[in-house]
Amino acid sequence: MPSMVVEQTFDKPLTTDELNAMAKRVDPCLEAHGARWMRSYISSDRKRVICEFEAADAEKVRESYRSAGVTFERVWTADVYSRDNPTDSY
Amino acid sequence: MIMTMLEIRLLGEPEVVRDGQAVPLPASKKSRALLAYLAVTGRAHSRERLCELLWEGPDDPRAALRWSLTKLRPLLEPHLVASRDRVEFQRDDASVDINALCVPANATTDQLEKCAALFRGELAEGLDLPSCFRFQQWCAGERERFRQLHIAILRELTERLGSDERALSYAQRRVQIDPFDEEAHAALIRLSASLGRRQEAMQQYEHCRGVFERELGSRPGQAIEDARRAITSVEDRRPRLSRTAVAAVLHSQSFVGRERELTTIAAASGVVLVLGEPGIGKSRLLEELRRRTKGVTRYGRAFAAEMARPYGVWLDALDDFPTESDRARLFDAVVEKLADLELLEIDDLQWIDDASAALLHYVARKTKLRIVCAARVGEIDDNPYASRLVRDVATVNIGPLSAEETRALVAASPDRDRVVAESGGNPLFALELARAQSPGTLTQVIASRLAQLDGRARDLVSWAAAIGRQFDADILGRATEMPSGEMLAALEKLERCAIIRVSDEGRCYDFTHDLIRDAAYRAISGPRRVLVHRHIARASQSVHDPDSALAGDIVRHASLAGDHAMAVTAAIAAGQRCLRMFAYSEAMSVAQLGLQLADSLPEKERIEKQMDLLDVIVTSRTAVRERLPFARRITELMESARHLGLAQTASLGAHLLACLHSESNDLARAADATIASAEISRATDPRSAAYMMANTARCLLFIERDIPRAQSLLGEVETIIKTVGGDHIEIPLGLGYLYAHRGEKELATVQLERAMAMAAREQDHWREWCAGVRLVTLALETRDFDAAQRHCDRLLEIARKMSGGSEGVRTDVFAEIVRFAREGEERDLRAKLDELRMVDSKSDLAWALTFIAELELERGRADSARRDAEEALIAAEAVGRGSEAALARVILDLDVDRTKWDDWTERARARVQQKERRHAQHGRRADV
Repeated sequence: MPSMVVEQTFDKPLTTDELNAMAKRVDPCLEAHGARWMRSYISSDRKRVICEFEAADAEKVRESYRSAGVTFERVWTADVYSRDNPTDSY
Repeated sequence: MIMTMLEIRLLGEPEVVRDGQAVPLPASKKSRALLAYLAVTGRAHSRERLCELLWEGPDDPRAALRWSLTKLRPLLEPHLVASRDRVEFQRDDASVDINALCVPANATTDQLEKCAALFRGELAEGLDLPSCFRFQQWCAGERERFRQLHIAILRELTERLGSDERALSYAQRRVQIDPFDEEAHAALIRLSASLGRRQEAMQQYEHCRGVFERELGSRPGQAIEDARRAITSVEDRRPRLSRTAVAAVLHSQSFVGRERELTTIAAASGVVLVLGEPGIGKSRLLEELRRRTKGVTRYGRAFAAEMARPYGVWLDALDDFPTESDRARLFDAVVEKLADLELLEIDDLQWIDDASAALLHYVARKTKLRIVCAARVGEIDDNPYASRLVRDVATVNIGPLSAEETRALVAASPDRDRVVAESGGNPLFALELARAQSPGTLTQVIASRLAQLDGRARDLVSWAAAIGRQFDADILGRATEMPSGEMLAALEKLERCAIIRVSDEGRCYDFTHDLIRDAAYRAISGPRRVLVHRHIARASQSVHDPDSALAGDIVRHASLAGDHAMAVTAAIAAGQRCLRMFAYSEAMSVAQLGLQLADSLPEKERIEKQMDLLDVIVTSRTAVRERLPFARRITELMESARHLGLAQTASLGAHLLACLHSESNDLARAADATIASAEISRATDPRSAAYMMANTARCLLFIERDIPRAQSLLGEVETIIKTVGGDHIEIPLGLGYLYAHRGEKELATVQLERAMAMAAREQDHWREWCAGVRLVTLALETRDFDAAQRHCDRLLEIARKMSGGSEGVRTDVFAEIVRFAREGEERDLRAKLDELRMVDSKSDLAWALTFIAELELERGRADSARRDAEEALIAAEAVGRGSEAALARVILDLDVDRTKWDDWTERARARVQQKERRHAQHGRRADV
């Protein structure tokens, strides 16, 4: 399943509860769209969040966020390179 | 017929006297609270109202009320009249103390003194039920009413009696119950001075200043200073207090008797319950058991005042309570931690929370661990979690000590014969009698001992009692703002007097007994309690608490202080914490309390906070039937939120309704379908049921899954709104998509236009855009290119208002397709398709490419049609778009998989059928 990345930035730092509340709203929509959350990165100033999902396409992730009324900056499809999966082109 | 004389005393701890004999009241606090409520109000109440007052919750409230009434009936006969629907206490010739009170101005001094004597404490003393919000509210209001009357009586008496010893005692009482009234302090100082008690007057002045400075942050006013000046002009005539009155310190370390009980416990396996009245020595017995156990032991206890502190008992018992990703793992992790344990003890089980009880049940089931619990007899019935837990366990009843044992316990007291006779074998009572050296009931003895404290210790004991549970010096210091040296000295003094003690691990303090905590708390006057709780709430708020572990405490203190805004914010945090710890029924209770408290907040804040609390309730995985009734509240809040332009809150509400609905829908599909659907229709009003269904249906139509279900849901929605009216964007949006799916263009256009208009009004750009897109594709599919152009122009405007998403690119693609359809020229079409590939919107890509391929076929460009259809097929299959995959296969002349036929659009079905007919004519059958 392709990997999707969601970028979000916020004016004020997010609390853990706010992050959880947001996830709770988006999760059921993602599930309905057959998307799966993989991991999230939250900057130490808690104003920037990057989430990684597996989904059939990026639109599924966007639609879940939109439907739940959660704002985002952009959603893009990603090729993943990691220590376990290096390639020559990287 | 023999008539019995019934007397009810409510001004103080409730008492019932029949024919001159005091009769014992039910051990259940809620039953006593019911008695007080019926007697104070003196009118008929519906059973429903009484259930709401005292038994709000998941269990059977009517059965609990019935049980309480059977306990009260023998006490109140024949004045308790209960019918099927109503319950009433009919006073008739019964005497109730509150009815004997008179208006001070019209009464004789003699009558006033009689009234003053009726006040033994505050109204319904000791009947605080923080978990029963409605009762607590009522009780606080009534207490205040009678407190004001009490003050008025005392004021009148002090004024009428002039310089008299009796006046002095009334003035002292007035200061005690009205500690922030300068006039009351000034009157007492003046009266003490005029009776020649200069030193007492001076002490009173100092005490008054301390209270005002510490708790109100201000100095007392002119009246007090004037009174102080009056002191210096009189001579001190009072003899100094003799030092012999100082209490003898007796330590509770000695352990006597109970050998039989210890043997029974040692012989039992599994869980053992130790039952007994307060003060009988249950905790002491557990302590002795720990001392005699060779291996590792753990001890945890529940507190009456604890709210929303899930696993409170376990957090105290284990040094490092594990965190896990789900409840099953959490429980297993705890079991693992207990592996090398010899004995686990849980004290005051009557106050245990649901989560702690569930974990205890699991541990008892999974391990062979020896578990000993202790609980107050009678009160355990008030707690359904505790009573369920001990239904079939071995029980050891703790009775009174024998005379010899009691004598051995208070061997150090010079007064031991009297103590043995009066204590009736209750060890706490015996120790308190020996310490206080004055007679009375257990609560009176404790109260008189506390009253002997002076200075900082007297102050500190109130604060410690208000905290309501174990406490550490840090929180006490923050709340009281007392210099730490003075505070530690006061704590040491309280420890020496056996009022508090250091906990087993030496990390915090606790009262030596809950009855002492209760007595100390009762001694705080109503207005001072409010202040003390406010300071504790603020102090707890100032502690660094990333996991919101103190949120439950803040809810309690802030609500008792009447600071509903702080309490509600804390209730949200506490509820979320409970969810994180999988303590769902606690999450539900604290959120429900928050909902009630939030009613008094300003409208905008109320709506936002209540929706957050409903989020906690919907997310708590309690039974769906318990959560469904909240759908109506969510719908109402959503409407108010929309009205006020709170888009985020409205959107959260829509999501919550969808969650509730989809869960209840799953339930409906289960075997018990009829019950479930009956519950849904009972629990929600038709309009919110319609919104919920439309939301689910719209979602299914967007992703082209289970269309028959979406169709039946929307069918129901249509029937409902025809009957009861109501509207919501999701309804026309869902209907529009459904009609478009079925190829019913006119109907679809009407609904989609309606959805767009509603979404535009509510500034819901995304739903407005979604409706617009379907109008464009529908117009293109039906070859109405003018309409497609018109809709596309509007779409471009909406997309400009949206940021972050792919709507801009997708709109451009549709605009290029409209141009291509009308003019036959590609122009920027391919470049825009590249952008669509970049934003990775496969459903749109599949639709666009099949549509372009169809146009190309019509224009005789078979090669490029084939290329586009090939790519469309890949995209459609990747995202499960059955219709587009079928259309692409038709163009590519491939066989079609019809297993998802029901989910295909009318357009796709028509094309597939056309292909099949064509192949049949050529003698070849399409694969079915």
